[in-house]
Amino acid sequence: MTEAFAHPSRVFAALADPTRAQIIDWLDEGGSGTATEFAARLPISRQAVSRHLKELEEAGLIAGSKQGREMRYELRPRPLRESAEWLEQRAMRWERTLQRLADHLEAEPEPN
Amino acid sequence: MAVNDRIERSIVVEATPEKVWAALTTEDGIKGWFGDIVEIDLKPGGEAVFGWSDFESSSQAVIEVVEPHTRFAYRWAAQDTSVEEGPASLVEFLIDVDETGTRITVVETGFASFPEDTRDYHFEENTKGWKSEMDDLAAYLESAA
Repeated sequence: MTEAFAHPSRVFAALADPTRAQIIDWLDEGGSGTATEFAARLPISRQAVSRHLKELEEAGLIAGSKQGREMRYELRPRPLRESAEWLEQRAMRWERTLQRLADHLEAEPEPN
Repeated sequence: MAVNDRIERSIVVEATPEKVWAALTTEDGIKGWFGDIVEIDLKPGGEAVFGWSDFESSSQAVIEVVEPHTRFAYRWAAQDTSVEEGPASLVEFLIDVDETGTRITVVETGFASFPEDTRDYHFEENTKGWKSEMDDLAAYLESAA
């Protein structure tokens, strides 16, 4: 299982698909799930379920371990947290820039 | 109440019957849209295996009809059984061409012969299954155009 840092763009691309976002939500609520369990709840083929799970796994968002006959997948929160921090840092930088602009405009005497 | 026995679904694709035939009957073709586990001895009486490794699921089949570019059928064992032990259904693919394109029809019959406790489960699984699998078949055929 890879614990390597997944770039946020990788994480956002993995989450940009409604089916994959749905799987993340189910894992968030239910703890774990297998390909068979996801397929039973989704209107897509088994091959499509496999492809989505592979993308989520490659983005580091889920990890599977063999339990009984099938792989059981769990959520890996780290890439989600790192992506949220990435967004947060950029949002804060913009807030500070806007604040400096506001301060600057307030300090300037009115033209004319 | 009538017993669920038959599933039928048709799609129309922009692909030649030859290409459709390859998608339905060759190992590479089948892996492109169906399961990733495929073994096939394409002749009447030949054995086949279709399965999905991520689902730890594969089923044995015995080919019944091989009419190139027109009709392909096999008896398909329910998961983890063999055609000999049963239960098994008959899966038939029909290919025909009309002015709208190439029509592919899948007909699966024989659920009435399944044990009562698992019949509805298999029928519902495969009804849903053929819907999404045929969508994938259409996408596979049209993307590889």
